[in-house]
Amino acid sequence: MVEKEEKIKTLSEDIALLESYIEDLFSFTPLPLCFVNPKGMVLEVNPAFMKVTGYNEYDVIGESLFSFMEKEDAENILKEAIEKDIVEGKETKIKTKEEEYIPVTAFAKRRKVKGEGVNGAFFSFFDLAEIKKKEEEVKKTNKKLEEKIEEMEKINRLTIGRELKMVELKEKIEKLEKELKNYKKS
Amino acid sequence: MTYQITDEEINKILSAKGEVRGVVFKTDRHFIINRAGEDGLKKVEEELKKMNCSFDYEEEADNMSFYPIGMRAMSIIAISKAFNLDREGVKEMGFQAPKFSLMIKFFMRYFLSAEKIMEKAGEMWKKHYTVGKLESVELNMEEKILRAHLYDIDLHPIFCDYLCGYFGSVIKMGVGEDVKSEEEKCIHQGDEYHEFVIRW
Repeated sequence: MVEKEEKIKTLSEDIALLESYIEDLFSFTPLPLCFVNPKGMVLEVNPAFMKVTGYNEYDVIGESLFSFMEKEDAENILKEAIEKDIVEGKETKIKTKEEEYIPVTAFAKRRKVKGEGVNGAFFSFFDLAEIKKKEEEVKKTNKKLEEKIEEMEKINRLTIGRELKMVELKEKIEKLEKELKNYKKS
Repeated sequence: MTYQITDEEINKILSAKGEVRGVVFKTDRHFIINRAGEDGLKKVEEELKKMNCSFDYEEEADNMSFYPIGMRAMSIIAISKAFNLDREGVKEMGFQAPKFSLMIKFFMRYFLSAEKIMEKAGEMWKKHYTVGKLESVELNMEEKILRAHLYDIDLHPIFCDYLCGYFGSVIKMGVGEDVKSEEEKCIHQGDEYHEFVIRW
């Protein structure tokens, strides 16, 4: 009996250690993560998810993931994860508490329990907001550059046109001078 | 309307037979901290002290250990007093609870459908409580209704309100739709068992 109690105590301690390890890992990762059941109900989220979206656990856990993502995308990703095990790098958007949509790349991995089948899927999101912002900046800079080039080309065209005109005028003057000379001679 | 608790009721609750897993106090702590921070926690602990059942949520609550079942109801009573919660407030607290229960995370694999939850409800109850028996007695997917009976536990009506919210939340996770939960029969009203009805 004492031996059994000792074993139970050891097992309980091991579970507590594992629990704190998983919790630390889940809390540490800067990637927003959540776990949903096959109906898309959120059963777990990590602090990074809350930081990015502005929600707290009470807002999210027990609610449908489809309320925090582009619904159609979320349904498709979940369906694909359940069927194929892994979904990698699907671009979509997640909704923040302020009703703003953040561009993300979503990853999903189904979770199977031995003897019971699929019981949900993990979702993780790579925040693309900064990248998209940089992309926009690059686009704007490119556009400005293109405009500058166009302007330069216009000036160039004008300058070349002016020079051509000068050459033409010069030729005309030379011709007139020649004619004048001939006239004087005669 | 807030709850009125007499000394006699407190004594009855504290002498109730049976035990509960410490995870419920961790869940309560989470609720308190989220609602009112450390000051809120102090307030609740003071309420417990006033009722002669001091409890330190931080130091004493251990997820897997067992505690006298009366403490379950006392914790809810203290929270309701500290935050002036009425019946709906306690029901809401119960509704939020499964979101943070570690035990519930163990049962995530059952949150696939109402059928699965119905099948495993008794098992989930036993993991939390050493007394009482929970049975799902009716599930009608067409009418979207689930009926569950809880036997042999009569702590206090506040616990019924809490469970009403709790069961509703668990079913919501399984069916993926908003739910309404009611207690339609109650041991405290002279019935033989508690009957919880969840509609979605």
